[in-house]
Amino acid sequence: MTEFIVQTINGLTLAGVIFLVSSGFTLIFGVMRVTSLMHGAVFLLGGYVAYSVIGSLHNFFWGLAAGTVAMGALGLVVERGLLPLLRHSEMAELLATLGLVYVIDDVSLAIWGGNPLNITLPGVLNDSSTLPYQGIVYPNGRFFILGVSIVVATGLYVLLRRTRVGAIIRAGVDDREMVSALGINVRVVFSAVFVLGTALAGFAGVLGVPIVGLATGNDTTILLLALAVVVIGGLGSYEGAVLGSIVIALADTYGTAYFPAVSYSVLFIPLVVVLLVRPQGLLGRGAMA
Amino acid sequence: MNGARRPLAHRALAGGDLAAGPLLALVALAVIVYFLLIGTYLSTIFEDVLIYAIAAMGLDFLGGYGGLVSLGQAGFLGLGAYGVGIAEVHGFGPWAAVGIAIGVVLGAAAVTAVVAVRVSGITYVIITLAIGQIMWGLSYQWTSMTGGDNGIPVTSMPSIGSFSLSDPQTVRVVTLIVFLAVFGVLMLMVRSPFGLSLRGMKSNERRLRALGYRTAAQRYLGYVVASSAAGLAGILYVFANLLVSPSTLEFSQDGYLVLMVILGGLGSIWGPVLGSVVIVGFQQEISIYVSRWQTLMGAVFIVAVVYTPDGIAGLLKAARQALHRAATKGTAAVAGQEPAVLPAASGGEAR
Repeated sequence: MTEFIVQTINGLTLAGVIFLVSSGFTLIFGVMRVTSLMHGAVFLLGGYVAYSVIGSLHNFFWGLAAGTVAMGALGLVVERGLLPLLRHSEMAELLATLGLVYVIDDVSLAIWGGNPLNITLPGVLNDSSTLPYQGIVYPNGRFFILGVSIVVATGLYVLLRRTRVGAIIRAGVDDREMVSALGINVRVVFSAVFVLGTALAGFAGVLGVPIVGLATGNDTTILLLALAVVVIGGLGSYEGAVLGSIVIALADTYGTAYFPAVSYSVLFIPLVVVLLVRPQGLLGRGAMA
Repeated sequence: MNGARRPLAHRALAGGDLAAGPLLALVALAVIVYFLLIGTYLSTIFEDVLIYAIAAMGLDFLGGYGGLVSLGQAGFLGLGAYGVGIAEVHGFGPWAAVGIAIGVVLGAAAVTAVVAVRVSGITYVIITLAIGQIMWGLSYQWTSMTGGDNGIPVTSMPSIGSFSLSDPQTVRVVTLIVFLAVFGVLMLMVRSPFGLSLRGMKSNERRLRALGYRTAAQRYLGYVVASSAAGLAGILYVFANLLVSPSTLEFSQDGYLVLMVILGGLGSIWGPVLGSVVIVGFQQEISIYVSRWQTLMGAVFIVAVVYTPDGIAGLLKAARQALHRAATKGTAAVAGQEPAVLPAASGGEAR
C-alpha cells in the first residue's frame, strides 16, 4: 500500500511535467496545425541550457528562467525563420521539425556530451519530508515540481479562458479564417503561440530534470509521451492535455514499477484504445481524425 | 546549321525517349552490382544501402502513393531481424527462423493495420510512430526475450548444399535479388488497379468510396505490403550484421527511413534508393570526415523539404523536363521555318 501511494505521487509529479510539455505541443497544434516533432528535443535542450547557467550562476531559478527564455527564443527563430518557407504544408512542417531534431540533438551532444547530467534543487527542496500517513518519506523537490506545474497550468487556464489573448487563441483553434477576418493579426498570434509552446517545453525541461535526468534519448521519450497525451486527450484541447497527462503519467509510473518488461510499450495501449473507440480523442471536437 | 540534329541530341540527354529510362536504370544497376560484389569496404556500404532501400521503398509505396507516411517503419525492420534472432535462440533452424520471422512480421502488420488504417495524414504519422515505439520498447525492456540493450547475435545461417549465407558475398547477392524482386513487385503494384486506387485515395478518398471502392481494405493491404518490405529488410539486416539490438529500431532510425524517402522523392519507387545512398553515405562516409555529420544531415534534409519537396527524383524530373522543353522548342523553331539567323536553338539551350 505504501509502495502504491509513493508510486501514485511519483506519477502525479510526472504528470505535472508531462502536462507542461504536452500543453505547449497541443497549443501549437491546435492553433497553427503544426506538428512540432522537435518538441522533445526542445525539452531536453532547455534542461541543458539551465544546467550550464546553474553551473556558472549557482542559482536554480536563474537556470529555470534561462532555459525557458532560450527555448522561447528558439521557437521565435523557427516560427519566423523556418515555418514561412514551408507553404503551410502540414507534412512539410512535420518533416522540417523532424530534421531539426537531428540538428538540436547533435549540437547538444557536441556541447554537453553523451553522459547523463543532473541538476540538484536548491536548499530545502533537496531534502525529504515524512508524510503523516504511515511515515512515508518523500523528496520535497517532487512536491515543489508538482506545485509549480499546477500553478503554471492554472495560469495557462486563466490565460486561455479569462483573457482577451486567450479568447483570440481559442478562436484560432476553432476557426482561423474567421479570426483573421475580424481584423486580428494572426501572424502575431501564431508567433506568440509558438513561442509560448516552446517556452513551456523549455520550462518543463528544466523542471523535469530532477525526475527524468538530462540524457540523450530523453527527448524521444518525452516527445512520445506528449504525443500519447495529446492523442488521448484530443489534439488542441487544454482539458484533454490535463486528463491525458494524468492517465499517461500514472500508466508509465505504475507500469515501470509493476511491469518493467513492458511498461514503455503498455503506455501506447490507451492511445490505441482511444483511437479505436474515439479517434478524435477523449475531449477532442470531432473534426480531427 | 545542324539545327535538325540538335533536338535528337537533346532528347537523348533528356532521357525523354522510351529507351533512355531503362538505360539509365541499367547503368545505375551495373554500378550498384559492381560495388556490391567488388568485395571491399564499399561492398558492405552498398549492402546497407540496398537493405535500407528495401524498407524505404515499402515506406514510399504507402507514403508516396497512398499519402500515408509512416514513422514506425524501422519497427518492422527490427521485428524481422528479432524474429530470426529470437527463433534461433529458441532452437529453431535458420530456415525455420526465417519463416517464423516472416510470419511474425505479417501477423504484427495485420494486427497493427487495424488501428493504423483508421486514421490518415498527421494522425497516421503519430500512430505509426507509436507502433514503432511499442516495438522498440519491447526490444529494450523485455530483456528475457530480446537480450535488452545487448541485443541478440545470430550464429546459424541458412544454407542449401554449397549455397550458404555464412559467406558474406552470398548474403550480398541474396540482398541484391530481394532488392530487385521488391523493386519489381512494387513497380507492378503501383501500376496495377490497386496502386491506382491508392493514388486516387490520396487525392480524394470520399469520392473513391462513393464510387464503390473498398478504400479501407485497400489501405489495409497497402499497410501490410509496406510493413512486409521492412520485415524482409530486417531479415537481410540480421544476416548481414549478425546482430540485432534496440538501436536498430530506435526513433532516429524511423526518422532516417523517412529522410531517405523524402530526400529521394516521395512517390517514385526508385527515389528512395537514391535517398538511401545519401543517408547511408552520411552515416558511413561523411561521418568519417565531419564529426557533426548529423547536424549537416539534418540541415540538408531541412533544405530539401523547403526547396525540393519532391526530392532528388523531383529534381531529376524537372531537369529532364527542362531539357525536353528545350529540345522540343528547338524542333518547333525548325519546323516553324524560322530564319536560320534567329538563335532559336541556342535560346533553347540556355534554358
